[in-house]
Amino acid sequence: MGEIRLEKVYFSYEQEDIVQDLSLVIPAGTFTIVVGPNGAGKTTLLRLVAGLLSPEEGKVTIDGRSVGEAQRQGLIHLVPQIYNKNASQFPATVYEIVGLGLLVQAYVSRHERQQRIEDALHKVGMWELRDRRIGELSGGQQQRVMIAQALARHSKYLLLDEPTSGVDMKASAHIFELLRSLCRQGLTIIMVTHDITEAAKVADEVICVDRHVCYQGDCQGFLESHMGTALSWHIGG
Amino acid sequence: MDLLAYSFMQRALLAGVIVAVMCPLIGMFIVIKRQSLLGDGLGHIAFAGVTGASLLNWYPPLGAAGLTVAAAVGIELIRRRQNQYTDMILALFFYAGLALAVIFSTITKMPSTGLLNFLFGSILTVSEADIISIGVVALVVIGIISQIYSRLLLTSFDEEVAVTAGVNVGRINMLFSILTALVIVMGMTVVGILLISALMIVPVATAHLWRKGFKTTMALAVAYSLISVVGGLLIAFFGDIAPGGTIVMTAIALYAITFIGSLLYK
Repeated sequence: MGEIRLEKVYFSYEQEDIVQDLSLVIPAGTFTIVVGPNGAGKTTLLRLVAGLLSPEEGKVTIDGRSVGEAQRQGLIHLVPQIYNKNASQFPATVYEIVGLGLLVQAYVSRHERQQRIEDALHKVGMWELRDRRIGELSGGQQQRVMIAQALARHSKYLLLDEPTSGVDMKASAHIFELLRSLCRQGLTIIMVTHDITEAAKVADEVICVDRHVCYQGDCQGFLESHMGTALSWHIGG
Repeated sequence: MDLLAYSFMQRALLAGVIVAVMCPLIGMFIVIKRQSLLGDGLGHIAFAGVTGASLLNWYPPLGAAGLTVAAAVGIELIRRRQNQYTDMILALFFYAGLALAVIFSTITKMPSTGLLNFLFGSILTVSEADIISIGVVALVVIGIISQIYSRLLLTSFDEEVAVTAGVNVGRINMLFSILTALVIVMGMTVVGILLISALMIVPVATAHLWRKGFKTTMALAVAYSLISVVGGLLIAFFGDIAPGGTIVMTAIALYAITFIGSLLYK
């Protein structure tokens, strides 16, 4: 099955410790949400797994491989944030955007590429809009296109940082449901979110981070024991 | 056509067509990377290179190529450390280029005709050697772009996604900056240092108005660029005007027409 494993990971930025002695295991095939107060190291954790940051101490492995090896094998895919102007205003059609990630993947024939793009667009319900430009779509639709990009690459691990940020509640619920159904089909989802109550309805596990892991377990247990604390993150307490 | 009987006009058209294809090819990526000032910044560095080469009695385009490529490398290295200030970094190089050009041209007492040729283009005096240089640079740029196309496209879309897909983003960005520098030096003979950036940006901006996919937009940008260069050259020939101005104004006119058309079509 495989797993993402972080062992005694340390990371600091401008002499401030962001992540300290962080160890955890995320089994493949699970839907995990990462929560915690602002500045607690949630995004840093995601970026360490994605290989955008390197730990100062400790190690990160994906299915027993180094992150660089996992990148080259197309195992991981970071879903771009839709408030990134370059990605959401890119002058390309939905179809072209979904195919972008596949372009750098070796040994994918043109026919297979077309098939994978078509399958991915059907899975996220965006096939009908394949000829539209990404910038003409709503936030929720743009996010589904970004997820389709990962599906077309056949990546095993999907990393998302606040995918429902700037998206209305109805579209957020759709995105969470879509991610849940993709997880059932075998994809591993790791999602940083502030929307704990909604995300907990679809996730298998929650990891609460505050420089190190302060909770890892089922969502219901977290909500029961930490709900007051979690609410204070929302209202800035 | 009578004007094609003139060998200088044949050379001008050939050089113009090559540059017309190359500029939007690079410009398309410059626009989506939101670095539209890059061409201007490097253009001014090229001007410093031309005047600096004159000071050392070197072949001016060689000086321009050397200094512009060095600046492109410098811009990219600084951008890696201060990514959020790309515009400011480009402005620094822009001012440095202009200031050096003023200093070098004052010291060398470069004749104003020579300066004007580089500033506004001198396509009607393009030599066979220039055509060969432009052709070689075009082949090198097209060869490298075709090799890195997918990685460049993904990097332009989102650098972080490209990294997680195993792309060496730093190397791709560096190569792209160097290619931009080469195309700017190649195009300065045709439209001049001050306006070469316009030929990279304006046809692409016009093509964007059609709101099509990436490949179609690029094809449209090349088509607009070709019409601008050929049309601008003809106006320059018959009106006895510097071609840089007529080429860019043709491109701007095409933008205006397409923009109005897009409003009516809506």
